[in-house]
This record gives sequence, C-alpha cells and structure tokens, in this order.
Amino acid sequence: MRRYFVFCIGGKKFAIPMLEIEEVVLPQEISIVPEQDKYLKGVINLRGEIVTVVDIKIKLGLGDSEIVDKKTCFVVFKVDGHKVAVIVDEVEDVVQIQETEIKDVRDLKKTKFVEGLYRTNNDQLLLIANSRKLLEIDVIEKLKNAA
Amino acid sequence: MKNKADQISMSEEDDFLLEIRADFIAEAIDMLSSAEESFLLFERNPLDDSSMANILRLFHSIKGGCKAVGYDELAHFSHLAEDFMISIRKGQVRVTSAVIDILLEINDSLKNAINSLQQGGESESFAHLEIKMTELSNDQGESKNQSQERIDSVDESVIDDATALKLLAEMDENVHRQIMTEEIQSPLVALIKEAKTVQKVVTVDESIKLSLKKVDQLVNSFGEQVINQAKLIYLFESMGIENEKMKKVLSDINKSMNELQDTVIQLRMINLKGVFNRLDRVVRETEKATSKEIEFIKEGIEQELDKTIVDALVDPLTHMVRNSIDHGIESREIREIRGKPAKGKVRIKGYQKAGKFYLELEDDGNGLDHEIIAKKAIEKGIVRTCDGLSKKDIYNLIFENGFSTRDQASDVSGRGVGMDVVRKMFTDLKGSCEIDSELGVGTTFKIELPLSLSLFNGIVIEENLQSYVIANADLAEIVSYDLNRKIYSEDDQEFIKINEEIIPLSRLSQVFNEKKEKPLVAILESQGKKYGLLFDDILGQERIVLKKIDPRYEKSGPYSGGVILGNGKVALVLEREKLIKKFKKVS
Amino acid sequence: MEAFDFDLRILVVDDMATMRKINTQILNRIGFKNVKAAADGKEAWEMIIGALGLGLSFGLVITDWNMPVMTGLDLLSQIRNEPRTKELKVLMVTAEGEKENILLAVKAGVNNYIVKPFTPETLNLKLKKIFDIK
Repeated sequence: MRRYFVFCIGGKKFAIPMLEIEEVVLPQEISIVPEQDKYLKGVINLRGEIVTVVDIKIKLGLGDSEIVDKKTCFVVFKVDGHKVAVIVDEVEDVVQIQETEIKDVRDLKKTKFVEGLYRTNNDQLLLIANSRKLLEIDVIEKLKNAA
Repeated sequence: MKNKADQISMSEEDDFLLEIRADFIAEAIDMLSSAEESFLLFERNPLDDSSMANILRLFHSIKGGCKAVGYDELAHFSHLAEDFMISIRKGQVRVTSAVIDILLEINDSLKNAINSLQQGGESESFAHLEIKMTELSNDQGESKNQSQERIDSVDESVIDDATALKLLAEMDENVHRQIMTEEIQSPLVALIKEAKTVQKVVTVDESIKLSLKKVDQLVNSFGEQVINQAKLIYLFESMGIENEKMKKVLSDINKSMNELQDTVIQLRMINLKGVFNRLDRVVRETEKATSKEIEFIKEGIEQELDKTIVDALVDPLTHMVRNSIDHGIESREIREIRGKPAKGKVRIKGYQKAGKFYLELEDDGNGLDHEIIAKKAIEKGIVRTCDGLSKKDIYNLIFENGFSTRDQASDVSGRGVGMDVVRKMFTDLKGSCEIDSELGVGTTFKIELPLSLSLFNGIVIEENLQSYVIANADLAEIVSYDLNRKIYSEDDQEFIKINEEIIPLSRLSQVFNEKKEKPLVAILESQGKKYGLLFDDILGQERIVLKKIDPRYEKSGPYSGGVILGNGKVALVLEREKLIKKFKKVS
Repeated sequence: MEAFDFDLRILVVDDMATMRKINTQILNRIGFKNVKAAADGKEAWEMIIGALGLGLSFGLVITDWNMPVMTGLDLLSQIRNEPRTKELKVLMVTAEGEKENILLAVKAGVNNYIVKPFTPETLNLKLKKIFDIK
C-alpha cells in the first residue's frame, strides 16, 4: 500500500507516488526561455531556487496548457534529486493504492508515459505515470554529467 | 590529584580526533605542495642546502603529525623518507636523476595517501618505494662538504657538560644512561659539536584553513542577502515614497554589500602557485620525453582566481605546455641553425585587466605556418576559402572542430585531445582562447577568464517582455540605434553601422517588437571582434548571484544560468561566447 | 608549589597548526585553561615580551624544536638571555631518539623535555617535575 497523489490534466486523472511530490504552489508568472521546446514552458522563482516549469499535456497529447482556470496550479515534483514544476489543471486527492491492484499496461505501448491503470472504489480511472520519463529526467542527468 | 582527562566522554574524544585528523590532512597537503616546490628547486641546484633543509623540516613535521593523529603507517613511511633524505643531505647517497624521480614519487605517494584518507579510503602500500629507497641508499656518494653547516652557538658558560649530564639524569634516566654508555671517545663533545644548520625558511602567508563547504554556504547566504536587498529596493521604489533617511540607509546597505561581495569573491580565490608548480612537473617530464631542454618562466604566480576556475585550468594548460614543447620548440640542432638559444623558452604569464583575467602561454619555437593551416582547413571543410582572412584568423582555425595539425599522434601530446577540446575547456569556464604566431619565431596563446563564475555585476535588459542579464565585463558598450537607419543583410546575417564600424547584429528572439522607435544595441567584444545584440530596454544594474538552471536550457540557448531579480522574476544570464555563436559565420 | 596553578599562562609553540590544537587540548584536559599558541620562535618571543608589556607573564613555554624563522633552541637561548624571562619554565618537545638535541637543550637551560606524541598522563608527570609537585 502506497500513498499516491492524484491530479487532473486535460480531463484525465493521474496518480503519482507521494514520495515524488515535493509541494504544490499557486501559479505564478513564468519567466519564458525563448526558442525552446513547447514542453519547456519556462522557469519560476521557487523561494530563491530557479525551477523549470513543464507542460506535460503536450507529451500526453492532450493539447496545450493555459493558466486560465482558478484551480490551475503548479505541482513541484522531485525525482532523483531533480526538481521540476508541472502545470496541473486541478489537484484532487491523496489516495492509498495497493500496488498489486494496478493493472500493468506497459506492454500495450499506447503511450510511453502511462505504466499502469487503477480503478478506485468509486469507479474512477487513474493513470499511473512514470515521472522519470514524463519529466525527461534521463535527459537532465545526461546533460548534467556531460558538463 | 584527579586528572580531568578521565572526565571527558568517549564521543567528545572521537569528535576531536576526527576534527584534528581533518585539520592535519589539510595542513599536510599544503606542506607536501611546499615540499614539491623545494624538491624541484633542489634538483635545479643540489648544492643549495636550504631547499633540502626545508624539505626535511616539512617531512619531520608531517611525520610527527601522522603519529599524533594516529596514522601510523604514514608516519612510518614519512620516517623512512626522512632518513633517506638525511642520507642524501649528508652526501651518503649521490644525487642523480633517478634519486630526484624517487623523491618526487615519494612526495606524490604521500599526497595521494593523504588525499585518499581525506575521502575516507585506505592508503596504499608504500612497499615498492621503500625497496627503491633501500636500493638507492646503497649507492654510495661522496660525503658532502661540511663547511656549509653551522655549529649552533650555545653559551658555554650557562651550563657545563657535567652539570648538564646530571640535570639530564634527573629528567630522564634512560636517555642519560644511553648517553653515558655510548662508545664514542668523548660522547658529550661529539654529540654537542655535531653541526646543525639553522633553518632559515620563508614563512608562508598567515592564513586560516577554511572548508570549501563553509565558503560555499557563505556565498549562498550572501546570494540570499542580495535577493533581499534587491527586493527591498524594488518595494521602496514601487511605493513611490520620497524619504531621505530611507534612501541613505538603502545607499549604505548597498555600499556594505559591495564590500561584502568583494570579500566573498576573495574567499574563493586561490593563487596560481598550485597550477604553475604542476606545470613545472609537466615541463620536466616533457623535457625528458622529447630530449629537449627548456627554460620555463612563470610570471604572475601570486595572481588569484576563483578556486573552481584554477582547478579546471590544470588539464588544458598541461596539454598546451606539452604541445608547445613537443611540437613548438625545435630540436637543438635546428635551434642552433636558427640562431636561437639552445634552451627552448616557454613562458606563462597571468595578469588581470579590466575585470577579467588573462593567461598568456608563449614559446619561442617553430611558430605556425598559415599556409599549411589554411590548406588543411579547406581540406577538412572547415572553411570554403581563406581569402579575406588575416593570418591571425587563419591561426585561430586550429580551434575549430575537426582540425588537427599532426597526422601521427605523438605519444607526448597526441592522445586525441585536439585544440577544439582545449578551447572548450576554457569556454566551459566562461572564458575564451586565441592564438597568435610568427613562423620561425614562436607562438602565443592568450586565454581570457572571468574572475568569478558566480558573483559579478551586470545589467538587466528586456527583450520581448522577458528579462536578461549581461555581465558588465562582457559588455563593451550600449548604444541606441535608430530603426530608421539601414540594417544591411548579407547571407542571412544582418549588419549595422555603429560609430563608422560595420558589426554583425543579432536579436535574442525572432519576434521583434516593432513599436520601439529606438531600440538598444549591446556591443560585445571577443577576440578583437565586435558583435551587436539588439534589445528593447534596459532595466538597470544589478548585483548578480548566478544560479544554476535546467541543463536543457543551457544546452539549447546562450545561457550560463539564471538570477532572481528584485521583483521576484527570473532573468536569464547571457553568456558572451555562447551568444556570439548565434551570429552566423562571418565569411 | 603544592598543586598546579590552573590559571598559569602557558604558551604552546609548534609550526603545525594540528599540533598546536592537540597540545592545547591536552593542556585543557589537564585543567589549564589559559593556553596560547604561536607558530614559530619569533612569534612566541613577541608574545612573551608583549605579555610582559601588559604586566602579565607566561608561566610555561612548551615548544617544538624544528621550526622556521626561529628554532626552539634559539627561542630558549633568547628566553634565558633576557633578564625578565630567564626563569621562565621551558619544556621542549622532541621526536624519538634525538639525543643530541636533548643535550643541547639541557646545556641551553631547558627545564625538561617530552617525547612526541605524548599523552595527558605523561605531560602531567613532566609538569609535576618542572613545578616540583609531589
């Protein structure tokens, strides 16, 4: 049994292990870094630390993120020591999930990022995503090591 | 009387032991650096006793320190090394090149052992060195001329020998007994008259050891303070209150921040001694490998730079020095024909100018042949033609990717490290490297480096509603440019005319704000060439504490990091050399 | 003296910072809190004379032998030659087997010597000898 953080993006509900979530912050002005991938939205000032903001909707093929909704916020992930802020439409809940009950969908090859499916008690479908892949942690680590 | 030692708890003792071990390691490393210098001096002049005396004092202290903090194996090895050196000093071992090699190896092994202890590892065995020392000790040399040694003057009238012995007996029975039973005719006289040389060595600068971690913490705290100060000023200005007292306080705060900034940068500065000494070794090794004799001149050894930069200089400089000696300096015969002194001259000079640091590496060797380089560059497809390029431009082509001036890899400096990699090592340090030469006369490398990587003053500019920072040191000047004036275009590259000069122009973003009538141009200078960067507005001068940003941004854009402004927004810091790459090649 | 005067001002002289720290610690443990340190003979001499200028005085000097600028022996000679300090107690720190040094020191008027590295117990004994405590 592990705690998972559930949030909404593009109408879909995602669940990420709590261990990988650092904090949730209200949306603030993003400093745009020009001429980048659309996925890399820019950077924000997180209490003196410069954190990258990404729009994972683009990776998931769910269109573009616009911060129009009052419920939009930034979820700061911390994966293997790397902090990345993700634009999220709505924060839902923290749930306990029994790992054995997650349906493994890695073979289905529908998307690179969703690794499992879980149906909650009230019949909601949660997509368990691989944050390392979603946040391009491999790329960050490779670039950091090359430096 | 109860000894208070009993009352100290075990954990306090352990903490103390860890602490003094750390202190000792730091001190020992310093001392071994000093010893290395002395070894090299000794090699150059084996008749000068002062360098050997210094070495012995250092090794003696290191031995004592090892014992005191419980590094017994190291103490034992230091002791053997000390004995070996005493026999060298006494003339019992002849000073040969092999002996000097061993001495340097001893020094290196000790350094490595101590370094590995610092990392928490085990020190390696010194067995092979111990064997070598024994071997060399058996090679008898001539007894050294004793005239250099000075007899310590002890006021004979204070205590006579007999009384001295009696006093000694009271102090320590054993030693007294030892002295009395020694089978030398006049033990006292012999012992007392044994010559001792007074060590007259220049003391090192008064300093304290600071852990790099603590310095970095200080830099971080300072960085926080800079942000706070900027916020304060921003808030004050946005409130629009005219208060003379407030202004004065803010101005005072700014002044002390300036002083703090200078001090904080200074803390991370170290001098070039370490690098230059390393290069001494490199010269020596390369001399042997190439059978050439070199005069190595070092200037500016006391110049200081941020530690991170200094540490990173060793590799590229090593390669460049090897290169100079191997490929630059000619053989004795050729030098003779050319009327050059038999010893090749290699000179390294460090100095500061206009907020930047410069290193010049010069040799009086072959020099470069621009015709060969031009031909090769065209062959390798680096340029289409060399027409219109000055000789200096052609020389600098050797830094381009895919260029290499030797077909066969020489075993000294080959190994596939091209000049493009060397230049990258400098640009990674936010610096640059260029070359100039004269065929038959020699070659000079000129390296430019920033004084500090993370603390500097810069201007904040705006382009398309996003803020950017350029270091003051990178900027030649800022001019306003009338949009109605012509912007020339050639081969996809725009040019403008400023002060009668035509310089290439670039913009940060593709979408240019058409509304501004008079945009601004920041003029950057690199290697004697000027480049113009068009932007919308200047927001002001700020003290910059560079923060790292996602490596993905650094890879795809001309950024060296980010900074948090007073208004809380993030400004991207532009890096000069990366920016210049954005300009299309001027052909 | 009946017992140690723990207020005694002591000067530790050694060119290695690590050793200065260790020796000061050992003295602190025995109970002496007023311990100062110098890196070579010259600095030590300046501190001794400086203290006298303030009306204070050192009661004991614990010095290493092999130091730059001014050696332990030279410092000892200087101390013995100056009327105001000639009675100052000096303890020499020596490495194992340095008999020649010990004898030279005795002739120059050293009060006692101790071999390094030493324990608080050994130092305690030597100090008792120097200050004539049972």
